[in-house]
Amino acid sequence: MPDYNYIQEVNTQYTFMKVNFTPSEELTLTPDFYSSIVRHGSELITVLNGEGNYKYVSDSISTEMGYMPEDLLGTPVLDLVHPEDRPTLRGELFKLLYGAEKQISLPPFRYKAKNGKWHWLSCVSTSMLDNPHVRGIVTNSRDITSKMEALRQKRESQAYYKALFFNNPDLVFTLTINGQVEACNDAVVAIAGYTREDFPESHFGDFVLPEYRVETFEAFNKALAGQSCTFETCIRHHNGTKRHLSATLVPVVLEGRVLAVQCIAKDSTNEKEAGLLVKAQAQKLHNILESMMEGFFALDRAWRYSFGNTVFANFLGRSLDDLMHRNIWEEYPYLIDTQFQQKCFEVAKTKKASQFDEYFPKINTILRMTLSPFADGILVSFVDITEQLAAQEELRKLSLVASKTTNGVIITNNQLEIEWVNEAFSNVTGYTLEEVAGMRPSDFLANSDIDPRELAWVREQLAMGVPMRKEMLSHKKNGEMIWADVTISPIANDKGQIEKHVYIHTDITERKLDQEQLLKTTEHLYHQNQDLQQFNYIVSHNLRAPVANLIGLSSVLQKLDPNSARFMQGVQNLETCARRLDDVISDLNKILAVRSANLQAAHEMVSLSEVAIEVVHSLQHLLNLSGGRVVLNLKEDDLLFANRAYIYSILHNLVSNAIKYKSAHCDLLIELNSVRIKNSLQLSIKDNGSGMDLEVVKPHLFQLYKRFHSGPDGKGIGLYLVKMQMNAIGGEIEVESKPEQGTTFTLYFKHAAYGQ
Amino acid sequence: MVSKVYIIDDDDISIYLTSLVLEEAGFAHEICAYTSADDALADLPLTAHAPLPDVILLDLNMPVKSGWDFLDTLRPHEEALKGKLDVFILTSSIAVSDKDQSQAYPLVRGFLHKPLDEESLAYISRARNGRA
Repeated sequence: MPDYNYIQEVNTQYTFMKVNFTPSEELTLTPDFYSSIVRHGSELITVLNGEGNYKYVSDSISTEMGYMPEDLLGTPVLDLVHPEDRPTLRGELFKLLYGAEKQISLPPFRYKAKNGKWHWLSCVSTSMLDNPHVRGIVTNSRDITSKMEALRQKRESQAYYKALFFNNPDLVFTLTINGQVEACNDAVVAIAGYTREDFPESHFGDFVLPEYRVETFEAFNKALAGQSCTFETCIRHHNGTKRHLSATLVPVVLEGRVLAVQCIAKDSTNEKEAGLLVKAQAQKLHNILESMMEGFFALDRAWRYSFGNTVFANFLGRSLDDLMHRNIWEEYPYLIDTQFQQKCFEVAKTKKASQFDEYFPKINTILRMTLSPFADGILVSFVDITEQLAAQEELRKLSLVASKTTNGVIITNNQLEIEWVNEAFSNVTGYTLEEVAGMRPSDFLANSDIDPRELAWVREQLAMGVPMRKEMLSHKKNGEMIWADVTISPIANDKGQIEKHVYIHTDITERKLDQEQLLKTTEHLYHQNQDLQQFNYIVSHNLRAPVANLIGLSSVLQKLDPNSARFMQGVQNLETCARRLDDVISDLNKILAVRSANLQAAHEMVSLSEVAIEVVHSLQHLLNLSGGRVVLNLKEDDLLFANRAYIYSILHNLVSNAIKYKSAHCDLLIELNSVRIKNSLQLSIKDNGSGMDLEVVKPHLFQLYKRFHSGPDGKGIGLYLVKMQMNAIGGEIEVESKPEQGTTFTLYFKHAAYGQ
Repeated sequence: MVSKVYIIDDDDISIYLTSLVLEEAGFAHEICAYTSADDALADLPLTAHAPLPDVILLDLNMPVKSGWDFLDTLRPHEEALKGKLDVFILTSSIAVSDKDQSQAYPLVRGFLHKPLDEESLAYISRARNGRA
């Protein structure tokens, strides 16, 4: 701010001189002439005195500035000069006042008009202080306000342009109509990485990535046609990286011609990359949500669906597009007043996540739902656990069955080591889980006489996944034996590997005893039935044969002459037949006697050697006849607790058989040998007789009325009776024989009576 | 009247009785009696061109080789013998199963119960004539 007082002070020092008008001789240059020119000329002329005060002001002041000349006379000129211009002007005035300069073109300055407006004046001041006619400083002023205004405006636009062009943070550059980069700002240099020197030679297309060229050239051509346009492009940075630009081309038009194309571009690389990143992240998020096994959806604050994954869409059987922005409660009214809705409201209010299971009768489904709050609403993820719960329930029931069933249940690992047994197993066997865990069932259950090879085979089968079922004797903890029906089922995992074995161990002791009883009954019935068949056979053959003969003979005899030889023979035959009939009847009686007596037969202590001697004695005459011999190798203590008559009958039958079927080639020798084995007695009766082909006869050997020798002797009852009697006293009989090599019958008496 | 009859029976009295009935009825020119199946088989001209018996009266219940064994032995010759030789079972058995079993043998023309009587003989004749 210039010091106005100081100027005032300085002004007072000036002494302005009055203009002295001398008239021209040729043009009658009268003072009036000059005065008129000065007064009425368009140019403003003023004269200042030595103090810088107006001494004279031409009339044009009134038109130019609105003052009347007399208004200004005597006032300091600097008063009306713009304070900013005053110091400069004062300096110039000093130069004139002190004779440093004779004439000065003053720099333009602002002068205040009467209406208060500032006018720019261009003045030339001439010192005429020495001129006695003037004695002042004459100043010619021209109003250059409009010129100055234009100049100011031009400067201003230039500043704007410069600011816009050079100081723009965006890329600004000018392209010639040939596409060369004519000028560019620092941003271009910074973002493109090229120096200014690189540009003038280059075509802008050299910087644009090939895939963006078409679009970029189109935009440039549009600009050349006078149309500005905005587009996206991408250039290659000096270092090879990409730069995304959002560019606007503006044609520079002067007088209808395009001079150049101005380009303003924004580096959108970050936005672009950020955009891509956001997109990628969104995709990633989408992928995550899609890959979730759980259904997932989001509700906005107005309970409208704002997101959902495919699982969710599939669960509802609707498309996501269809669901979006629909209100969940309107779409699915059955959710209203559910725990789900209640929890939704709660989570929205408390902003605390919540998880719960709920059954939805409408869709017959149990869902495990997780509600989480988020900025724009609620996230819901859910899993259908209906099947899972059903499986759990089934498992619960199964485990209930397994633990409460009356069958013993054992679960082992694939090594057959016990992992679990149920209560019933413990109740039946006496073993608790603690006692047997880790053991193999066969180690403590199986009977010791089980074949290890069979056990190995069973294990092999189980390892192959073959289920087994077996009835076996099992040990109880207290040493008792029980019969168990054991079913072993291998349990394979998804890969087909055996993981576990389940044993169902059922106590079937009672059933087994019943079975044994039943077997005995069946056997008894079978024997009874066999007896009946035998009886039927006897009746139809052996009893009927003599009867048929009797009938035949009696009818024939009627027709024969009683005095003839034939008649006599017939009568003899009649008698023979009657005897045979009697024999059969007595045989039947013997059989029936053994049968009916059976176990009730009186048992007594029988000395085998005594009975043998008796038998040999009774058959002595037959032995004598055939020249046979009997050797008895029996001991004193060969005692049997049995029916004496049976023992006698058995020995008698076997010895007499031996005599009957002696060999024709050698003398008969019969040996009786006894062997004691534990508490049983084994007696063999060996002969060197004609023997038998056992392959042929064995099936019928001990059957009733089966004979293996033709000829008159033998009716086929002896061995049958022997067998029956042996069975009755609890013994077995076996036979060895070869034709012409003799026969050995071996009797096993189970109930020998040693030491009794 | 047939030319030759075989009687195969282990029961001597039965043979006596049967022979007697056949003789009285003048049933055959020749009666051959065998007490075992093997004896009868030994006499039977299966391969030679000697004349075969027209009728065989066969007992079933015999030791060593039964009537069934005898029939089984003839099995391979059945085709050759059929029409030339008629077997009639003559047994004391009254078991129905025996009669059923006999029907499996094509050579067996009839099943007779002992004792042989005139009625049985008439049956034999009818059976033989019926075929002729």
